[in-house]
Amino acid sequence: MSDIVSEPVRDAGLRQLHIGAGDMLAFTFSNIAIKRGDSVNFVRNDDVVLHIKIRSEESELVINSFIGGVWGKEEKIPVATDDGNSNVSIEVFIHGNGIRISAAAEPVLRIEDRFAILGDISLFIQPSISMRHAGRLDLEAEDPASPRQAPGVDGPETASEIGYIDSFSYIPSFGGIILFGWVRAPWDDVHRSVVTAVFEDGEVAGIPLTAWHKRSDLGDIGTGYVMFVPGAMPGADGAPVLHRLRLAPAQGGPLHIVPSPGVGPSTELQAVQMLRDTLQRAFSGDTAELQALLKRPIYLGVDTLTPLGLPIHVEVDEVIEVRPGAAFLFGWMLDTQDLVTSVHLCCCASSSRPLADARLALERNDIVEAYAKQYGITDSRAGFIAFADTGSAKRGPFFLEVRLATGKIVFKPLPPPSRAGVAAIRRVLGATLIPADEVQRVFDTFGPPILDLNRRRLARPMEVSVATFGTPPASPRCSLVIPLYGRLDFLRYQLALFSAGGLEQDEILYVLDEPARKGLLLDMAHSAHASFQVPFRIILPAENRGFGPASNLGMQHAQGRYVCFLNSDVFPERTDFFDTLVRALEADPGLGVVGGLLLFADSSVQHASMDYEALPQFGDWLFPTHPGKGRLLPAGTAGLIPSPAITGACMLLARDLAMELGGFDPDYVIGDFEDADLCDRIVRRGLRCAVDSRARAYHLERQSQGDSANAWRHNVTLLNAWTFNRRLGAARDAGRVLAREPGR
Amino acid sequence: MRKSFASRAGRKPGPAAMLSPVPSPPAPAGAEAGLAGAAFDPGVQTEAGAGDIAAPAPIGPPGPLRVVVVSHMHPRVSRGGAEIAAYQMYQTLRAMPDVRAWFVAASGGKVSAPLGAAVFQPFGPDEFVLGDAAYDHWSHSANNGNLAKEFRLLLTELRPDIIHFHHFANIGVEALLHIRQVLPNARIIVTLHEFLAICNHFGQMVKRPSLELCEESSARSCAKCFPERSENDFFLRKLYLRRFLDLADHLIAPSQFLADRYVDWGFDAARLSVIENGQPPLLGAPAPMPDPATLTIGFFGQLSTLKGVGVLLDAAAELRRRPPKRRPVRLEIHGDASNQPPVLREEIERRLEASRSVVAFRGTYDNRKVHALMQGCHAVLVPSIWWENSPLVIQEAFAARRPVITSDIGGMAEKVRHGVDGFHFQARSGLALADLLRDLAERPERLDALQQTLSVPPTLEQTVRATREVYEIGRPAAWAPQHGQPLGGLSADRQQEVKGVAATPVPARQRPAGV
Repeated sequence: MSDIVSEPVRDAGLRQLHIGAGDMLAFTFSNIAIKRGDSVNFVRNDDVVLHIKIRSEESELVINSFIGGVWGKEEKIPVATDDGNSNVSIEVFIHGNGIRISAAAEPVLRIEDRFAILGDISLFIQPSISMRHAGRLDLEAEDPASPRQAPGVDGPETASEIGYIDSFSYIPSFGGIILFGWVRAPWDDVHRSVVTAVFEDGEVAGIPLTAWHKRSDLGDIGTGYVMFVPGAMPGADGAPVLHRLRLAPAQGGPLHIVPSPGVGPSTELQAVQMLRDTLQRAFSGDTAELQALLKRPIYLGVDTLTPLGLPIHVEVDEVIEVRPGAAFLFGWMLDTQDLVTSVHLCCCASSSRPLADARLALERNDIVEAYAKQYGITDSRAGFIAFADTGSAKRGPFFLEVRLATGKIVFKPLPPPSRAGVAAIRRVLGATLIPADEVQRVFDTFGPPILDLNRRRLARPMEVSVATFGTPPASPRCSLVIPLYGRLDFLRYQLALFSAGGLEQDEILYVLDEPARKGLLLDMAHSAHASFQVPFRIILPAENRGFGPASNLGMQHAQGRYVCFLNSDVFPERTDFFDTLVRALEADPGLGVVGGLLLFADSSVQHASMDYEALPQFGDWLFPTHPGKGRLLPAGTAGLIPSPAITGACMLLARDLAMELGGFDPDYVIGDFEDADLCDRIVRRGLRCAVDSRARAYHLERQSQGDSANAWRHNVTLLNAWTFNRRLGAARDAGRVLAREPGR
Repeated sequence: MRKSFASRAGRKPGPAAMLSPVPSPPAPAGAEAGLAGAAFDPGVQTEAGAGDIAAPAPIGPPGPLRVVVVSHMHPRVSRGGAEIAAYQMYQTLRAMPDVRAWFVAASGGKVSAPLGAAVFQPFGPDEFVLGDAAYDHWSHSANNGNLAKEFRLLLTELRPDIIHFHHFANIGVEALLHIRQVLPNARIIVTLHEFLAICNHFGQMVKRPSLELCEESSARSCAKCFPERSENDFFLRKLYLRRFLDLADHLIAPSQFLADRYVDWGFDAARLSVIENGQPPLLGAPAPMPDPATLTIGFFGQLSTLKGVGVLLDAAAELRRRPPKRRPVRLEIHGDASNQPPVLREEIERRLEASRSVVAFRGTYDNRKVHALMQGCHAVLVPSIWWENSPLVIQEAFAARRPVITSDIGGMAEKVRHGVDGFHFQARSGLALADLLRDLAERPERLDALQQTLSVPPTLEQTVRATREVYEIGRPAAWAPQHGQPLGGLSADRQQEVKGVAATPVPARQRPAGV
């Protein structure tokens, strides 16, 4: 209730008022007031929030504010002053977030987002000006943005349609939709079930907050409501088209609230203002909860930090969405005065924990150079990469909420998410080299979302085509699955050697893991087939997915009793290489997987077995090692060499087993550790791994992987090591331990 | 030991029928020189007696021996030693009554294929040219699948018993596999003309960029010459080449030096024979030596760095500075530098002008007149700074009955016996060459005496008959791959394999001192 007196104010001085939305005040400027330039001033703290005067010489009404010692921009409307011989009356109508002012028959000036005099305020007025409370207007009836008139006195047309929607708006800072309208009768708690807003492009469903208010235009045919339905707007850009609200009462069929004819979305600001006004008049419902929504600072898509002019810089250069509501942020921050309490990522109505909880400092010498003089900073680690999860399951624009030590909350818009898939993973893992003592913390923080990024890219549907050269055997003994990446010419070398024989019963499946080079590879394949007449197939996925997924794709196309995962840079020494491996497997049912003895070009050992070693510099994580690597094979080595695991560069196992295990775990990004992981899963089944020293091949290791001396390659290895060790940890916790040969 | 023109690499000289030592004159006569002069000459005399090279029995079913000679280029468009040797062999074979021969050459980018044709016949009914091979000079690989198909069809059509490659460049080593797959019973012979498989530097075995002599290839040292390639790349290259070259039933090297290098590289010595390229006999009696008043030394061929043009010009400068006292020396250059880089051409021209008193530049020559031109000299100079294999110019000089002054390395030192067929000088030393020439000018009798000992090059007939013996050398009963065989020649027992060479009797390699 307003306590504004209805009598003219005749005494000068301050008066304490409480002004409500919908209040209308009338002021009459006497000719003396006009001549002297007397004014009306609404004062809060030291600021004049609203200043009104009449300039007779210009015949105009001037409205302004004096905030922080500075006059704002003048707003003017013409008035007839009769050269100062007559009084002038004006009316001021108070909105939630502004005013509407008119003078006699002159046009109405409506001002938003300024002159907010709602609530407690002081009024300073000279005796030459009189004021009266001209009453309270029904906002719905008066405001152009208010809900429309009830469409008909008869009310909703069908029994299930219990009311109308007059306007609605999605408000990101609320994380949901605000709707206004009316129903024949308020519902009670039995209706506090899920409400679904059915849009053209999808639905928003949630437990609503509802408040009820009387509407003069309805009389006793219905009751006004304001409703908040949490959730993100479906669909993309453009004005949403709302079909109905569907209520699901505990008993009976669904009830509907339908849009009034011609209803469309209102602006966020209009909706917030209407909500504020409506709640003033609400008589029941979830008014407290809805008021709480209003108390949230509202993000309106603009930067409200920078205009403060504070020595604070919070800048985000890139956002990588991990999933709706969660993202990696790359940026930099300067706050030399400790003015910032915390920074949070926000999405829809949700906000994350402070970014500092999951943040890694990055070198940004450019920032130091730019601001060293201004702030005297010397620490170059002004940059950061942070992961933040708002918890929102809905996709919405990301923005930052910056909480200042003063208690003020400001916002920063963020650029839209850009990279995805491997590019996103490369960006994150390539950001910096991680100090050894931080790898555990960093990967415990960043590892799960990176895996999410990886899973998300792998979950995308992908087209796969197959090119067949020659006639592969109909029922192959073994399927050689060979991913190709980088050195596509290895295909020609390998097929040249395979043409010597030994593969008559086997099928050769290449998997191109570099789709951009499909044309080149097909040309090479045609030439190689014409040259060597060796039948083979090439699986052509539409995306690069890494060694494990590419191998798995090949496995899915394989038809052999056995599958041999083989690198393209492995070149068997003899034609009986695969015969030897198959024989070894068939001779020993306890043998789960067998690999070849792999040699460097100088005939020293590249891989004769695989063991694990805990590296203290990496949190005692276990890393695979290759005993005897670089040395000549010890004299007397013969037959099978038992091993805890074997390399994925060459491993042969029953296809059924491989399929049952799902092949390589695709959580290992790009290619590392997946072989050790697969072997570990085989061992957990009670089977063994071994290298057959009778099957020898040259392995020109790392030829296809390019330069590894960079942060990306280093960190992807660490990521995979982290994944592997986490799995081992889980296995240990479950009572299983990594299989080791006796005596090792 | 006297070197034979035909011997099995890694073996002591064998039966006379195959390994006839080449005698001193008289030189054979009766056939025309040049490509058209490769007629059979029954009058060849050898130390072991005329006609002791018996014609081998035909291979396979009754009927003429069907031979396809394959060359990396056709001599109509390229006049290199290898293609000339290949074509002369083809002509000699086809003149034999028991042989049906065809000639197949790669276009090498010098013969344009008719639109849409992969195998075409611009030079006659029994001669075929293979079109664009999409050739990869790194792995000597032909990537044109259509050409592979057409070559297979051609093989099916010709049904040769023997396919004899001279060189594999421009054709692609995969051609050996095509033959194996299409004609499993055909025999494949490969004559090696350079170190092409061993060395990626144009098969020259000189280091890049210094042009130092390379003693032995290895992935490590080769990658130093070609830093843009890795050691593994060179390992793979060798693996690839061996995969196909190992399909050859037998290999022929025109010099022991070349054979030794390939044995060092890993070839089984038992699969290698040394057979010198034959020469068409000279017409008429040998011409007498020219006017003794001036010692005239002839250089024949391309004026290139590797052919030793720098050594020649260094020697000329030295001779100009310190001429011999008794009689002058004149260096006559037959050939040109037209294929050389402009900078080198200008340098050569500048230095030739400065040495005009010693050097005479005669320009290019018609190869059919090479013997006559050589006979206008007292000796022929071969100053190459790379190893060489068996330079044609040496055999041409012998045919013209002129001694050879040559670098003391590689195939040159092997073919020219010091003090017997000519004289050696320290390779790459213009000063040493000048000293030698000065001494020969002062003591002309040293050159004259060589007329009594000078080699006679084998005739084409002799070379072809020795080659036909090679056609007969046994090979595995069936080619069908035996499981367990090495894939690329670099077997697991690589070291043992190399040792195995040592286990097989290998003749003392007659590398001349100074190599």
